[in-house]
Amino acid sequence: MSILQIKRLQQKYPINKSLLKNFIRWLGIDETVKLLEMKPDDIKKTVRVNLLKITIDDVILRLKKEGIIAKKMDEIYEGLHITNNWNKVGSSQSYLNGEIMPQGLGSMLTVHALDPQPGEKILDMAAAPGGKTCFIGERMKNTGILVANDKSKSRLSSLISNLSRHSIDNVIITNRDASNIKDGDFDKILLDAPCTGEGLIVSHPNRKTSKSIVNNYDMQKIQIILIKRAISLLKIGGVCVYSTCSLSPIENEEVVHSVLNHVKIEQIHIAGDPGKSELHPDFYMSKRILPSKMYCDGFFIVRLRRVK
Amino acid sequence: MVVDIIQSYTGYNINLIDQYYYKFTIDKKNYITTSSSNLDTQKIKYVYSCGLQIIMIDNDISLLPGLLEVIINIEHVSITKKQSVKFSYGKKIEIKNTDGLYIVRDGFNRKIGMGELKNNILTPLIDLGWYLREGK
Repeated sequence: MSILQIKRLQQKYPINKSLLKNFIRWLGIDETVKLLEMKPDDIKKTVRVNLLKITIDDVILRLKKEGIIAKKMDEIYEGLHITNNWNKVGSSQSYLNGEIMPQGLGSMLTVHALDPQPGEKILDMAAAPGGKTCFIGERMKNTGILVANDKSKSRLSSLISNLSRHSIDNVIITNRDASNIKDGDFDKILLDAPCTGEGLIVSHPNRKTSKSIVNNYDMQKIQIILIKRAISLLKIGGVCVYSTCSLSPIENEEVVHSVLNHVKIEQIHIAGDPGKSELHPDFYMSKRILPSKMYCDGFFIVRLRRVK
Repeated sequence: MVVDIIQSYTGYNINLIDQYYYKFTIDKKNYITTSSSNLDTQKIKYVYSCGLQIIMIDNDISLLPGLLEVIINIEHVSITKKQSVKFSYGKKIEIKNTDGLYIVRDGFNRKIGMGELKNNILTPLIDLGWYLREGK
């Protein structure tokens, strides 16, 4: 791609130049243009149903009574696509009662990949504000132990509130830098790592021109520390799901590579087939969810098992 | 002890389901929490809270929505959709029934709060609008 072509694209779509170059390198020109053409309204508005409280069919009926139309999603059983009155969802009785949680498809698929089971001991390393944590607790059916950690004390109140609303009570909330967690032996760990958030540029267009969004390598340093810690906290045979809402291989495949070279882990298959990774042949089992294909925020998800 | 706090606050005899109860202090406020699981918090460091928060004790006592999950032996009363919206935002509503403490249910039989009825006026003690006002 010539400099002139990049300049033309930049004129048409206001975007940080480095980010634009990265997208073209990672995704190719056609996919990049599709991504930049997208508007916030192109992202599907979705909620997840809390099966501890209600069935899918009942919540569809209740939402309808409040003037909200919800349709079942093919990609995930608990997911509903809201097709009108999205602004009413957050104040609906179903929301207040913890029957639904507004949640993007990528976040739902991350927990689906973790596959939490009743009775397990699970750690969510960066839990606040708690959308994924609640989903984990729901799949655990309030049994076993769920440790929900977040480094930011100010974000814990929203985590606690969401857990309460969803009636998740098998949870221990901790407040520490996840890289310092030493109490291990978990069956499963979710590391939804801090990232530059390039995958959110459609729903949050101001990110396209943010300077911090191109600091992939700064983020990578933190991500490598966290993923190494996550693997060390797993029991043998335990599973870690690593995810980010970044599209960059620097924050995804390269981070996972850093642990593949040091400890005995293996990638394992993620059920379902939305958006396989196409950037690196070593990562054929991971999923890169592109907004232009799935009409949700971009995500990367990989499932790793500690072998030794 | 938890029952005593609620009884002294409401003035009514109440019972809670038999499960695990915990106490935490967060930002100088005391919280009572509960879980159906025995959460061995001693084995984990930097514990901030656990289970569902049900009571906050500051200068005053606040009953939190989580309490609706564990409170028993309280009569239930159903209210209309219009009343539910009003009640959920912490407003008093008018209903005809005998005075007392009630778990409040909406037209879908969902627990949406707890209130004290006196002279046909139901005053919310717990309402789910708390999540919008305080639970951020």
